Amino acid sequence: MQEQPTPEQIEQQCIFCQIANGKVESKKVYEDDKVTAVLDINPAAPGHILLLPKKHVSVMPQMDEELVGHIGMVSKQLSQALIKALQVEGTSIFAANGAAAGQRAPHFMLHIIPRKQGDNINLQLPTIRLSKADMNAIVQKIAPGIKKQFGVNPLEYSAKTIADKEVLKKEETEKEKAEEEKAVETEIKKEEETEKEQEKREETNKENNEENKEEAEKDKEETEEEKISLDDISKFLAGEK
Amino acid sequence: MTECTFCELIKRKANVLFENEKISLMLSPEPATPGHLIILPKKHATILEQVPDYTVKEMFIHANKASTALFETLGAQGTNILIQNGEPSGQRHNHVMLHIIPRFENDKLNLGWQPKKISEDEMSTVELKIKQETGAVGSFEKEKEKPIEITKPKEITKEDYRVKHLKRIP
Repeated sequence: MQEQPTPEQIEQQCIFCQIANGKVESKKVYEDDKVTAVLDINPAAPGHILLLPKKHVSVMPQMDEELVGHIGMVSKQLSQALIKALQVEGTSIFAANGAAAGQRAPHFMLHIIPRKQGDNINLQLPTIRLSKADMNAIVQKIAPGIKKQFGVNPLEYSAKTIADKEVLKKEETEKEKAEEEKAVETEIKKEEETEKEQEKREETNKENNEENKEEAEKDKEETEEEKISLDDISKFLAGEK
Repeated sequence: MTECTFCELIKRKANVLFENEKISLMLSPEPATPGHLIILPKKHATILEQVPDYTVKEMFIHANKASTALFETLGAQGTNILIQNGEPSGQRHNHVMLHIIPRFENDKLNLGWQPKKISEDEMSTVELKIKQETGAVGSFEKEKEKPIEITKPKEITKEDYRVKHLKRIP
């Protein structure tokens, strides 16, 4: 039976754990309690930074939100530092999860690479042709995963697929129409709402007025009684006369 | 129409799979492999340096979730996370975005570089130069808290019965 290696054993075997935790010498440019940033000894360009989590993780999905978010923010600031320090015109922030993506080391690392025109670093993205039907099929396929991770079903989420800019223009007019319709709908809704509110107000007013009414009725009765009595008196007086 | 295609896509929720108040996750209109996703800050920014730290955090957290989703649903054997920051890095659009690219064996996508040989001296000078700029790294800007909205008490339009009788006093 093979035993799971302990964290210490993993660290002993993983050179990047040792670098991240300062057990192997490196050109360290930044460090905090979660991550260490060092210069790559086989750089794509001078100033190529490796951002390493101190905890041993192989791929990004093994990290918790806090660590991923932290790595992201540090990478942004390191990218900023590279631009200032080396006067470069850009940076690439790159990570590979899995051998198929080009990962070579068993420890996760985020590359922050200073970029110059014509530097022979191939991080440009080609575009493959996919029809709208293909794109829709992909959305259908990944929808359950998105729902699991994000808690929102993208299919209910008005996910419209657009393959290129031409489609975008065509749909624009349709969208405008839909927006107009929506605007009309919302107006109607608003009217309904205001009507409802008015009704409610009337109701509450009625309730509040009940007491007053009772008082008013009493007053009325009193005045009627007075009237009657006055009439009686006048009649009585007339009769007497 | 606004000048930025991606602001327009965000606004119209085209290709969008998930969004919150800071970011949008969408299917890339220019995929490198089938299932290529992108995460964009909703507020227009050309390069990463213009995006506030707390939004960058949000982008990475959701990139990780999206990456997991691609592993689970497409059977991807790997994913690449890439931000092209500035024209020399291959950035094609003026709205900064984070790419999540599912990878498959024989997908013909070739991302990488040949390691360069750099003298020890050059490494040291570069190290020094960078260290001079990393002093501020690690202190992150925090999002301003939204003002608390207090609902105003309803105005009493009706005459208050408690003071009504006082008016009768001459």
